[in-house]
Amino acid sequence: MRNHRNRYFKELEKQIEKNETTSSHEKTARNAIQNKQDKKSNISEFQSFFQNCSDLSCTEFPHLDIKIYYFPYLIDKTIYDQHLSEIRNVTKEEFEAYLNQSEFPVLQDVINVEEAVLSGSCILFFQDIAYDIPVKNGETRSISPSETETVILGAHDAFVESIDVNLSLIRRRVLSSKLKAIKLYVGSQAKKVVYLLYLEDLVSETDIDHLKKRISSIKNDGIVDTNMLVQYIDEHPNSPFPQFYTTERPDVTVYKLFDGKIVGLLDDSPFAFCTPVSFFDFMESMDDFGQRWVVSSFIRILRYIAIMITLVFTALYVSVTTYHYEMIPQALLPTLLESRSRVPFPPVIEALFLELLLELLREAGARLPTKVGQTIGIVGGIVIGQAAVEAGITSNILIIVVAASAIASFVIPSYLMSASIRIVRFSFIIIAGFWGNIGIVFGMGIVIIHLSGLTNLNSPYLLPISPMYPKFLKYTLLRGPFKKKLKG
Amino acid sequence: MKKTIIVFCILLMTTGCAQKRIIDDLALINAIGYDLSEENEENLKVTATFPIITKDGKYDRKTIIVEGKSSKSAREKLKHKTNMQLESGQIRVSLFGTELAKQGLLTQLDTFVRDPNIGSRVLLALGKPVASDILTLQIENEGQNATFLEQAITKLHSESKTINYDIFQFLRDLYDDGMDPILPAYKVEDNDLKYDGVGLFQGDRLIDYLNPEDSKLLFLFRKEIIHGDLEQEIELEEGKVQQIMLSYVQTKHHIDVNSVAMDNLVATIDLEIQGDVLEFTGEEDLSDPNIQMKVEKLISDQLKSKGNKLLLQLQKMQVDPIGIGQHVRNHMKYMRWKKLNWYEEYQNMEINVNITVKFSSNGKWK
Amino acid sequence: MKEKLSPIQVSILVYMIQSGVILFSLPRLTGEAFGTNGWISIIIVSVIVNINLILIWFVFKVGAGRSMFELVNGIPKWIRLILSLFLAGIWLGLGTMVMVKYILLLKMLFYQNVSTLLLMTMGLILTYLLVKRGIYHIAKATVVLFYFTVWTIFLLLFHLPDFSFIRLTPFIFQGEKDLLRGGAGIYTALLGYELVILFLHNVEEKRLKAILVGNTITSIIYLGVCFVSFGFFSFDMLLEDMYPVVTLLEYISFPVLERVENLIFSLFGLKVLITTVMYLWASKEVLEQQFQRIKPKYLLLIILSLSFFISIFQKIMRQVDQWLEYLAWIEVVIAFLLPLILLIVAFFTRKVNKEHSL
Repeated sequence: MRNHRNRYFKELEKQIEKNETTSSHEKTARNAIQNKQDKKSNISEFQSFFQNCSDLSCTEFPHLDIKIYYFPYLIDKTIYDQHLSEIRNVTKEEFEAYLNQSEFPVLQDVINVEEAVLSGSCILFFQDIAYDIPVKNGETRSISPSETETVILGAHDAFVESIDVNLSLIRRRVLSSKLKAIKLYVGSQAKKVVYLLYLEDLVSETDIDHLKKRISSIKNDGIVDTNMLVQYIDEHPNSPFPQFYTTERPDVTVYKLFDGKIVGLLDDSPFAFCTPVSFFDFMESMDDFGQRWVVSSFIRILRYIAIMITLVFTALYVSVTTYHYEMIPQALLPTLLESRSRVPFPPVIEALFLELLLELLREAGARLPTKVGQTIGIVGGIVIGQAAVEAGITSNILIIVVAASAIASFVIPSYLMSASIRIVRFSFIIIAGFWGNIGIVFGMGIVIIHLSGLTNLNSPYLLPISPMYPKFLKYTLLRGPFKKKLKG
Repeated sequence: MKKTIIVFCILLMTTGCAQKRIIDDLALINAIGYDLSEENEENLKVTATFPIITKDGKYDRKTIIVEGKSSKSAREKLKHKTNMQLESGQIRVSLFGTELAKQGLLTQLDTFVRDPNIGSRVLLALGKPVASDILTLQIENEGQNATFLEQAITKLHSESKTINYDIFQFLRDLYDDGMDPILPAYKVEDNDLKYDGVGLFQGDRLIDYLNPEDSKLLFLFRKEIIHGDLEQEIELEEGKVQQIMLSYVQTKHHIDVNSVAMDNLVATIDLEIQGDVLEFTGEEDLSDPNIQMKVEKLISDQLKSKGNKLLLQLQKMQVDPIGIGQHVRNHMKYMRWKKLNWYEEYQNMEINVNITVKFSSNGKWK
Repeated sequence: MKEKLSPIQVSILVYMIQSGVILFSLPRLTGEAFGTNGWISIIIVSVIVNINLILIWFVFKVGAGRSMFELVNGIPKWIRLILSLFLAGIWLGLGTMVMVKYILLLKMLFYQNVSTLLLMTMGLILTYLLVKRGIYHIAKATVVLFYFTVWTIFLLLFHLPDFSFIRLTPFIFQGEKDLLRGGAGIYTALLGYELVILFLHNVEEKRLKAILVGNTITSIIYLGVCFVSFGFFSFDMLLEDMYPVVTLLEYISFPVLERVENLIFSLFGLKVLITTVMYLWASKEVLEQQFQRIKPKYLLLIILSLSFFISIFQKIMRQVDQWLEYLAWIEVVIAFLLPLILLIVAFFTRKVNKEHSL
């Protein structure tokens, strides 16, 4: 078993190595280009590419000397049948004439042929010339509300797995020729389409060039999602904090476009990424713009409080109960003493245990079907918490503290940021267990220094705060009122 | 980043962590009492009480009494009497016996201000006659004497007697050259704790006690009180004693010093009180403006004469809890104030009281 | 170093370098030096600092925006070497001592049993993270740290109920005084501004205004703290209290947390950190110019190890105080003399340049 495994991993390693050097596949492709004068080899080359691909269908019409290759599930059967019925009863000469006046493009390179058939075209080989007959099937998931970023006020559509649909969702919202889209490819073997969208005049050319270079230099295959892609192109790969804003909401994307950001779309991924963004972009939700500005400003402040609670609340409990008992007020002391007196562990262990349990519950809830997940959440939260207190493993005040910081972490609108902050919290708890308050402050210092050192396309991560632009503060920390240009 | 993590881990390995003081392993003293020892005059009797959790999980308290030469040596002995680590960071109330207070409190207070564990909000009070009585008293249905005392003192404060006296305030008034501190006094009566006036200090030495009645008046003079209650017996007609009770707001509190003449200092305390009548046992129609004015004047005069008497008493004792010295100081040149023998001057100076009581309403009834 | 510092960043940076551990004893120091109502002295000292700042600004006006090192190039090499070694040494010592003093205070208050070296290592790790990325990163981090610490000034509002104008007394600068030595002590509380000489050429615009605003922020905060202290404590008590501001903090109590000085004092470490960071950065910067063959990273590591080495021997508060006092006095002299020397050099080189261009 183990041997088998090892072999598997070795194979994988080899494969990765292969990918990183020039792939053999590419070499064949290059050979094919060299031999492209030799028409005879065109079809056989093509066939050799798709050796052992039993799902590739081939329809032959020997009397016309044509072969049609296609993947049955990538094409639209009805259009295909229409085309087919036309050629069924024609002679070779007629067909040749028909082909010559038709608009079907001729594919010269065998690589293009490969691409075409993979993206859902029928390839017609006639006299060893490959024609591309577009009969692509637009079968995708229908547009549905967003699961990860729900809003109450605002549009409810979300991106789907098709880049064409996603582009249409954006184009439909930006009725301007200023919206530019650059098509790029990612990967070496199985190339994927990436679109960079931006509004001309709002974005600096150097930023786009920078991003273009970075994206096209990615030679790795198997990037299946935008959230993966951005980790290949960000500037600080070891940072726990997300540096590109990813969203599955077209309205957010369009808002970011108008905000002067570059938006990237990856084929087959329902997420768009935006750059350059700052820490505060992760604190925004589309809901903020629908609410009155007073309300949404309050909610934004709430979110910053939530971050602080998530980060330091449990750590503070640990530090106060372990080192700084003076800080406990008289009224709280009896309850704290009573519930702590039965706990045999030091507060750090107690807190880490409960935090870990909570993370497990959250992860279990996320992996299970929605309904089971909910049950797990409730059962875990109430039953285990209650039992833990009764068994004397944790104190009930700690349960409240941990629950509060967990709830606070879910207030943060961005799922990515929320997860990062929860992870950072663990180090705060450990450090508080070692050195108390000064430990927390030390941790805070490291986080602040780290955050202020992060960049995103050379723009600082904590932008409106440091370096400071006071004019923008009211639109990032708060949600200032919209400027009215109306008069009268 | 990686290097930082490595350095950090090495740091953790080599140096370990700070000394732990986990709350459930500590004996957190919440009240401490100091008395002079009965057997040996030079010794100090220290009573400390702290909460403990009993075996069946109940919140209870433990009181320990030891004797020692100084408060720190007594603390050493306290340590031997408990299985838990003794910590003083949660001390809420500190009590001093009468005899000890008469000798001066500064030496005792030194440990409170020097020890960084102890905050400056520790409430101080006097025990009549000894502090240990109060701390060892087991009040029914009251777990912690410390909590009880703390609540009692803060309650008194909220009833506008501005008696909330913590270490900081005591020391501030003690070090102020124009003011003397006071402390509230408590005694045990019928197996219960009872507030029993205030102790008057000259410097850090207790001089005498003031009964609750008089101390009420003292508080009226001492500081701007936002609101309070006033009970007064008045005689509108000869031989007919009536009770009146006011809920008042102090609208004016002003101490003026006239020091034009070099030797003849005159201080005037101007007070104005506006109150709503809460209780009146007389039969007169209080809604009648004439009667109102008459009652107002009666109360004012009574308060004034009482006040004068109190001030004379204070002057005779040479204590200045009202802080007249501050006002005198602020009306003088620095050199003259420094040269002044304040207590002597205080004893001989003339202090006038002007109190005006006004009814803002006579309540809901005629 | 293509990025430039914005004026707001510079103001905040100046404030953060200036404010240090002395704040905790400042009300007492003003009382000891100037007697009653000593808080007024902050205004006087602040004005002197402003004059000094204008002098520094003038250096760059005359030097046409050249950096200090460009200006210094006009001086013979051996003088430059001695000068930079001297400056680096003083700044290194000062940066270290400020940190050590804070750590000793922290130890006294909350961590009696923790070794100084551990806390020092924590401080130096943060210093390393900041200094290695240069002034621009320091400035960025400083702004955030500023927001994390500056709100503490509003805690003074908690002391207003116990504040009384009567305690302020009408006497101005009466009682025992120690004008010269004490006054210098207060002046050192505002020290740190002189480091702007190293990065003023990096500032985008409004240089003078930026640095003056920075000093004004510090002065206002110091003034506020001292003023409240004089009305909150009685004068004699203020003189007795070693660290009146710690007592001020001790007095605050929230319903959910008491004794917040525990947290606030730790938080204050971040302010002290910037002071240390900037002094060590200055030291590194000077040495970097002098020894261009050594990699800056190694230079920084050397400085940090030196700083750590110095802190090993500092275990007694009065020793540290003594060192701080001496170093601060030298620093005061540097603060005035360095810009003066540079001014002369700048004036001279400008003349030479003009003759050349003619």
